[in-house]
Amino acid sequence: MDAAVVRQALLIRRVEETLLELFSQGRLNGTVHTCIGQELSAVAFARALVEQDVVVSGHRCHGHFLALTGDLDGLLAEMLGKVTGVCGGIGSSQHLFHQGRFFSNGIQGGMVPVAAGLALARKLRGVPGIGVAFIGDGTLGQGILYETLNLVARWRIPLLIVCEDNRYAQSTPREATLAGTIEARPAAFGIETFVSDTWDWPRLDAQAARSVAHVRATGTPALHVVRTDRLAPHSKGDDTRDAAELDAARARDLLTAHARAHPEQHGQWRAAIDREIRDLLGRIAQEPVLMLEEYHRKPRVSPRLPARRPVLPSSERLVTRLNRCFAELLAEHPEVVLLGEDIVDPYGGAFKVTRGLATAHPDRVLATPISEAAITGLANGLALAGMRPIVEIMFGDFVTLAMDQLINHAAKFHRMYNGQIGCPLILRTPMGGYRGYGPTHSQTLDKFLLGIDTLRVVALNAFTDPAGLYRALLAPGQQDPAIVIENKTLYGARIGDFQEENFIVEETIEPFPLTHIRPLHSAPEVTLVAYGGIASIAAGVLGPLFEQHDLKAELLIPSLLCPLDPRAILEAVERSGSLFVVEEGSAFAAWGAELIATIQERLGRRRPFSAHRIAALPVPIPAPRDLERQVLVEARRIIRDVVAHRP
Amino acid sequence: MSTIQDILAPRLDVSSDALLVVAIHQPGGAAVGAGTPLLDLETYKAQVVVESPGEGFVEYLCQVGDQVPTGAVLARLHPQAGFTVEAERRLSAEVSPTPGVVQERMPSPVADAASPPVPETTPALAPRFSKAARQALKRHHLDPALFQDQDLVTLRDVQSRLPPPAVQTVAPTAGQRRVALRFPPLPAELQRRIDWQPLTQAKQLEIQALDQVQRGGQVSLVTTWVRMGTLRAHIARQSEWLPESLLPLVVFETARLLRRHPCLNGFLEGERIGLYRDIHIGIAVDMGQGLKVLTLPHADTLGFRELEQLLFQRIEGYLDRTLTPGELLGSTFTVTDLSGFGVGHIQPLVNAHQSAILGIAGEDPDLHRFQLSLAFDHRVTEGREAALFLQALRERLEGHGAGPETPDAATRPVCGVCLKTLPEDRAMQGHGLLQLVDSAGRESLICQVCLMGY
Ligand SMILES: Cc1ncc(C[n+]2csc(CCOP(=O)(O)OP(=O)(O)O)c2C)c(N)n1
Ligand SMILES: [Mg+2]
Repeated sequence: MDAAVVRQALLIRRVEETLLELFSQGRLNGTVHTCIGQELSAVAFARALVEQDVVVSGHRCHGHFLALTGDLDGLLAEMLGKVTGVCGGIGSSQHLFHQGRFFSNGIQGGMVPVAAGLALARKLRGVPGIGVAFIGDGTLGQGILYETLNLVARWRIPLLIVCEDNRYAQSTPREATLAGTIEARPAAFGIETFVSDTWDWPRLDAQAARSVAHVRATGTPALHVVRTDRLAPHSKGDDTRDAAELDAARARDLLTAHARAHPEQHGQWRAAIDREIRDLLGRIAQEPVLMLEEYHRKPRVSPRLPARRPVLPSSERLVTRLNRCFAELLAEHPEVVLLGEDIVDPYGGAFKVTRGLATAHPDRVLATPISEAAITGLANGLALAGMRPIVEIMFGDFVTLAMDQLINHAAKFHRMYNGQIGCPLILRTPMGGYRGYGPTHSQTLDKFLLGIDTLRVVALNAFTDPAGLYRALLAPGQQDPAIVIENKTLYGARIGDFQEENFIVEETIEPFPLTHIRPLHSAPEVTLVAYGGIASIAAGVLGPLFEQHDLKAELLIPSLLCPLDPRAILEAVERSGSLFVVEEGSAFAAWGAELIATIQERLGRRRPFSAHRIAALPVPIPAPRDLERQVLVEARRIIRDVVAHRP
Repeated sequence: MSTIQDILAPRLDVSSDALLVVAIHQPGGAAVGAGTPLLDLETYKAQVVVESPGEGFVEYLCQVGDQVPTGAVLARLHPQAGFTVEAERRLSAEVSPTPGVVQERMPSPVADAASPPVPETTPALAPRFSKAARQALKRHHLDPALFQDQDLVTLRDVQSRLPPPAVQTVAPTAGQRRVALRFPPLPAELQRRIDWQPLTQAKQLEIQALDQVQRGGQVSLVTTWVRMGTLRAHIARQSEWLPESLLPLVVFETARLLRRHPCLNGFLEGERIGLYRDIHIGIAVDMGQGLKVLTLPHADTLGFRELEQLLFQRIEGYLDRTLTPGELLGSTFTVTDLSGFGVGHIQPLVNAHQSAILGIAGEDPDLHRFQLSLAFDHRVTEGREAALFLQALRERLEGHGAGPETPDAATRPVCGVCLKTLPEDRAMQGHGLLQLVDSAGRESLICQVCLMGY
């Protein structure tokens, strides 16, 4: 081992030993997972990488971070929660970031498709650079890993997965949870496999270089198993392993051996490292922590409502408009990539939104395997690399499979890396019923998406030009992900089609317009609010409510559900004193509940109003036509409820 | 049964003056038995079902929509079928304007409105009429052209164009010519700018009920401030049903206190004062579905949780519109809670057949106190009594708010981070709790897991 290697490994070890000390002194918040015993793995791969490569890691990431970036100051400050930390102290131990080259996150396996996306972006742009993803042996239990192995092998993505096999996952020995062998797994996907260990440095060093070179040269993935020992507990003081086993592991540790063989030199290096750490800690201790005002500022909303313009009916069907819009976007923006199951020609997507696009842009309209989690993760990596991925999830019901990538990855990156990078993923999905597709192909799962902080949720409707919405989402400067809910019943609708004498359709002039259908002059007596596909059903009751039930009603249709801008609705409810929210999903804990709570908070004391939700019944959606309509919301039910609860 | 039996409009204790016939259950001439529902009456607080007192054949003397005085004959039971109808005059005629009242017609705002000519540039709008509006036009022989400037015309729009309600002037008695002093009428300009709304029947009945005591002209008001202290925390701990509301606790204490102040639980009738033997608290609520008084019978005998649960059920019934008459009638004292609306002071109106009403205003956010006001009929009781009552109530409420914010924290050691208690810690083989003093000098307890991590 040359001096540089020993010194770097020793630095990592001393840093982590110091972190454990700081933790026991209560100076460190949260948790630490140390790689004590495994350092040489990090050192070996970092030596083989170049500037354009990108590394992702997980909970045990300090070594990978230090070996790649050398930013000891940034790491220590981050661990102590200081603004000068690499993520402003927000992320701490498991959530590190460095200049678009290093990313870690605390979800086992979740970063592997992200690394694949980062690598794919390099490939699509024709720039050199590979992706490296560090995982542990316990992470071999994660499904998304295999989705990614399949994807990177089939699509020839230059990704090196390094599996550091320390034979334990937290407290569980590998034998207890792992069937078959590690090596047989990549082999099944035709992925080249390398094996080495941290007890034989020359071999580890050579194999690391070989595996990196292989990925770089062939542009294909590889998996590298590094046998190693974790000498310290999983996190802190929680070791349940056998003492004899640990002794044997310590006996083969190369750093311990070096200390024994060269006590004087080792002692000098160690003392120098300790001094450096001590000095840094002394300085960092004086540094400030992030203030709440810097971390979270209440968004400022102008009290003035945006101007409005009339909505003119168009003869174009929504699906054609969408298709035209994506064709334009692909042509205008080389960063736009469309991903999804069955979206290429001749099929053109389950709802034909992407018809013809793959023929025009075969490299950026990509049909994926049935791997909702991995393709969302892949798109996250593309977005982090500055591409503008648009993922289609074939049915909204399947968005559950992408949830971890949405919640724990896409929606976190920008804020947890302290604003240093954005992840403007766009995920679009056909949602909703009235098609007889039954319980798992008809749902409105919007409520699960609305609760994700920082995730923007947009819903198309039959009155708003969808191209405008997508253009707004693709505008430069977007940092956080967005979901677009495309109700299935909308695809065939003609945009802006509404005929009801003496009513007017207007929309606000803003990136995500709100549509307002109201009597031409009269003050409305009841306010209806609906979004998405069901807004068309709600629009259909305005006439009958007036004709048959003597009621002047208005309908407001927001296109941006989250974050919620309640101003226009507030104004309407303040005037009418009654609010009916019509929703296609069930009412409990859904958007309507949130809207009513928001209006109540802003208006309740000033202007009492009545509020009602008209929503689907809380049961799986049945396939038979009439029964489905009864479970979902029908025009008849809207009329009945509005009349029963009219003020 | 051989004689004809009259069925009279009952005296409902809240509003005896006027009742509204809202439903008729049998066809005229139908055979009925004892207990057969005949018709539904509504006061502004409740609906009651009038049942047949015995067997016979029913003849109705009223119809749905009639407003009838207490004691009026609503229906008759005849011994035989095919009876001859005796009463030609229907009740509705009896409640027609009392003699001596002259109806004076105001000029119709519509007929009067010399609207400026519509500029030729704006295309005339073809108004749309709702079904009900079309029917009303026909009924009142109105010209649809009157609504030329409107987009949508509902029944209410049509009604607003009808002549305004009659103005009542007292007819001069014979031989006495008096020059009526006339208040100048509203300027015509303003007249044209009025939207008329018909008074709903519920509102009319409400006005009558409140008029009974207020007309006496001797309603007085006393108020007091209640310091919040830790009252909210206390309520949140005690409450199972309405943890954010002051109302259950106020009602709970009020009901008990009323036993000592019987004059506040009574009413004046003619020359005498009636004191109720029981305490039934009425809660005036209006949560968007009309003003109703929810009755909590024998409230002074209920435990706090019982009372709170009952109140919760009544509110649910109100919201679901499933309240029965029994749940709305027969209160002997009323509490009105406007604390949710941020008002600082309330002057409530005393209900018919009652002598007092308690109002709860909102918390003053700066001074952490709220106001209680008691309006009372000075003909039944007097200021001293009312003041004593209010003072005692204040003391009782403040007593509840005098405890620590979280008594548990003071008495029970728990980990300040995960709230684990000592027994729980023991069960998890912990080493107990450590005393911690943070950099701000605050003391707290922490368990080993929270200190060291897992
Ligand atoms: C999705 C997910 N499940 C569970 C955990 C909790 N967890 C953190 S580390 C760990 C063990 C991981 O074992 P391995 O992959 O072998 O990595 P090692 O800790 O051995 O480096 C577990 C279960 C997690 N962070 N993410
Ligand atoms: Mg492991």
